[in-house]
Amino acid sequence: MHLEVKDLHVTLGRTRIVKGVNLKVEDGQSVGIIGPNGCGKSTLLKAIYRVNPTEKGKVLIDGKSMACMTPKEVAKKIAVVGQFNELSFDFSVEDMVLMGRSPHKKMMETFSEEDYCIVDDALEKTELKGLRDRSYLSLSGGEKQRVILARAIAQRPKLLILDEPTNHLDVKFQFEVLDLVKSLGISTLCVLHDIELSARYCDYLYALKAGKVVNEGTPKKLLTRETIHTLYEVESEIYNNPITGALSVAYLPGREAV
Amino acid sequence: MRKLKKKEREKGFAFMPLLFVAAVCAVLVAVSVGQVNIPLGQTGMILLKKLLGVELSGLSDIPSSYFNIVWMIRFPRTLTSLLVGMGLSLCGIVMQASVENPLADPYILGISSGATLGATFALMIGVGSIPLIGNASVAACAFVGALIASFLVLFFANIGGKTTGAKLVLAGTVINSMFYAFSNMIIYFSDNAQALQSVTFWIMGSTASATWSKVPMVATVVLITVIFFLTQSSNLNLMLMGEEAATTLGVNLTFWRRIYLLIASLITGILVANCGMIGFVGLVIPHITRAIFGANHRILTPYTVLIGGIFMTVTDLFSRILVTGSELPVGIITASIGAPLFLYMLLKKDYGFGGA
Repeated sequence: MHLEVKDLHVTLGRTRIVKGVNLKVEDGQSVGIIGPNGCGKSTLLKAIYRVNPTEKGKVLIDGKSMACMTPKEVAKKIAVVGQFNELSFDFSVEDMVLMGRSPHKKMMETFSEEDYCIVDDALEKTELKGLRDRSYLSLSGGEKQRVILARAIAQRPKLLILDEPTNHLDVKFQFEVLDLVKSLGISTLCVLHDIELSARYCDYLYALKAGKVVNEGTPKKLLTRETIHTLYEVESEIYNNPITGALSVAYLPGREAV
Repeated sequence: MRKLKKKEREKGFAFMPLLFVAAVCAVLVAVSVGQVNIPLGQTGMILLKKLLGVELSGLSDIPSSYFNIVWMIRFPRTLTSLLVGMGLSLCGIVMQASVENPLADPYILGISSGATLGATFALMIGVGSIPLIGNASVAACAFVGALIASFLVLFFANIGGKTTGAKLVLAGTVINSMFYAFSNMIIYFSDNAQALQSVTFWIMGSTASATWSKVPMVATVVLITVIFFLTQSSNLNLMLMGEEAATTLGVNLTFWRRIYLLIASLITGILVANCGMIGFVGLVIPHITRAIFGANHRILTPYTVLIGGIFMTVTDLFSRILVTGSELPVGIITASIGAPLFLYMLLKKDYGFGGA
């Protein structure tokens, strides 16, 4: 799977929010987008999975333009886990996850044994087997998010798009969800609410500001004091955490620019 | 082990035969009971003879007036009630899913006010002199009014690009009040007391005018729609996931929403034109069924249709027998049975009514 976004412009209402973004996700790669609030991260993702209309530019999946694909064809390739997952109607956990299979079904086709096996597998991976018959609305935030992830896994996509999937989750679930995503070994494109998380889970990062890519590169190369300052207008120091060995950011909001 | 699982999955349909039997019983009782009570056995014999041509012994002992009552009056009316109940509750489910709002009912797209305006117009101002639609003028005008209203709603909700559930509901509410204002204006300036009473009776809904000539059309339309929506359970389920999730799970939401709303408005328009406004069925029956059987449309749709049909058959019976020598508009009964039932569930059952 290979995703390529070429010169994408998105206008919502009268505001141009995404102004000519180019990005690439290679096979098996996990790519992150970082940037301040309102820089157009979510809008960009929504345009890629076709909930937002694009004004100009192209999204190519394996060299094929997504504009000429049906929603079903797109859903076979791309699954989405968003941050808002409240429902007005209640379903059992199993029914929710089964819905991930529907893009693979024809108009009147019913779910097969194979579909149920795939659902079993997704429930297993997300440790939801015990909750299979529970009602979705009775679950906790973390459990709900895992159900949505299980649904995305059952979709068997080539690319997983994550839009702040761990926003409302406790630290433990954050790592669990992201480790699980990583273990799937498929290409991912994600927006995470935390830079350190992005550094930890992404192979490649794009820094977005005011609808434009201002910088890109591996987390190590991209995450510098300068980048943080351009994006967030806050002074900081980047260091290797002596305990975890991971890239960490110490924000120093009071400090004058050096 | 997997085979056993599959069996378990079909458990959802366990009550279907029971409800089928209940529906048949309800129809039999409704046909037998009324101003003249006919023994159940004799009703059964008459229906068997008329429907299947089977002649049981004792058939010749039944008074011929019973034949008329059963076959010419009560049976077409009961069938109509059954079909209207099925149709309205089905449209309720479809509307609730399409606009993704638990408050939606078959009339959400302004159909009620459009039909009322059409009927008021026909009854008060009169279009009886216009050729072709002459006799059927009330029904025809109601149908046209319903369609105009729902097209207006769909049109307004579509302005500015994306149609959302919220926009549809709001546009429906606005069109409703506008059309009601027009009807009220006609009523206010009219001094035709008799027509006013017809309008009132029409607004409250009744299957009293049902005849064999109308049954085939209603039956065809309702049954085809039921079959169609039984095949759409996957899309309907996905619509309840919200607009974004439905799209990313491969539903062409704009397209299907439009198709579903159009079909549901057409059916509701036809039903309203035939029987007036029968409220509450389309809102309450889907919720009651959802509370019992869950929101999965694969199971929900067939159950709702059956329960809706039974509910209407029974309420229509009540509308005939509650007041001796007279008849209550069935809309009054559906609401006065439906509302307490709904309240009971609201208090008793662990059911969120979509609100969690």
